[in-house]
Amino acid sequence: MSHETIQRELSAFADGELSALETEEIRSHVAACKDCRRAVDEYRLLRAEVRASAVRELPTNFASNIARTARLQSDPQAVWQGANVFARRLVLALTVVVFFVVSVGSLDSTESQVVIEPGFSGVSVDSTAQKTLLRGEVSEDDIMLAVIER
Amino acid sequence: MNPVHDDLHLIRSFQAGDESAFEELVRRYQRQVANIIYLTMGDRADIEDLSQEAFLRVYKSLNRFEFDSSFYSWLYRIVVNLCIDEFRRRKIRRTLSLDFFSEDRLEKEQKSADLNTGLDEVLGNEKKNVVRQALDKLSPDHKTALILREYNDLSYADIADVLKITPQAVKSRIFRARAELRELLKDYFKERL
Repeated sequence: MSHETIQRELSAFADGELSALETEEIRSHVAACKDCRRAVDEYRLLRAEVRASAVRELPTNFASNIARTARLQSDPQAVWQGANVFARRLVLALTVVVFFVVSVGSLDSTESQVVIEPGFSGVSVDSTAQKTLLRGEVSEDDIMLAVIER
Repeated sequence: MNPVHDDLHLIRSFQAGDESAFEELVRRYQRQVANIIYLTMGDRADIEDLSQEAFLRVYKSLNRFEFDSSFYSWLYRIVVNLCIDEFRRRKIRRTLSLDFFSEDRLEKEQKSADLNTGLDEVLGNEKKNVVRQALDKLSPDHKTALILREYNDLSYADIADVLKITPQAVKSRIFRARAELRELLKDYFKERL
């Protein structure tokens, strides 16, 4: 092989991709040719640098996150299976709290419809009435009586 | 057990309904996939999204895997195709954007990029690597062939299988990629050798 032909084969030679015969021929040429030896050294350095520039560390949960996302995308209902126990309990607790607040709110608004007749206290059984009650201006019995009469 | 046979065993388990087999496959190949993406795309920010996208494609198709090639060839083909698609998408986006960009806007973007680069240097998040930058200058075809060889250590026959080209074409792509890099890194090599 000529020097030019060998130069074209050096890349495959460095990769060990040539036949035994070609490899032997190029090896003896490289041993005697400074330019070709340098080219082989550059290929080796290049390989080392490419490997060195690769990412060393990945997040520890990388694989589990990908597997979880894959499961969720293929089966959205799996979201509950994937959630941890704490998250599930938290969501349940929040649901109960929201339900309780909404229920109390609707009871409160029902009660505020009950109006104590004018002349008695003239206010609805709402926060104002509760304040009046606290100040001792009307008794609980008075309020109950007004509600029953209504 | 031979890792290739082990992969096939995991695929069979997945096909039989064992979801944990998929996670094991991800764990086994996550670093290789992440690095093909990183070395091809040149940006750490792409790693997580594109790795996820690649493994999602694997997950969707794994039930149809026919055992006529190795799992890693099949997986790397998915990853390389994903990277090439992403390159094309970005190229189109960049071309479209440039049509509408005023010089003023380009100037602002450049200033912002300079600022980010400065910030990166200060934070030491993204070490500038001369070889990395040279790799970015290669065409996607040359770059992917070279990365599969240099980083993933695949033979020309395996690379040919991944890229669906002949081993002779692989040899040619790798030779050209190296010739281009030798030219780009002339000074760098001079200092090191």
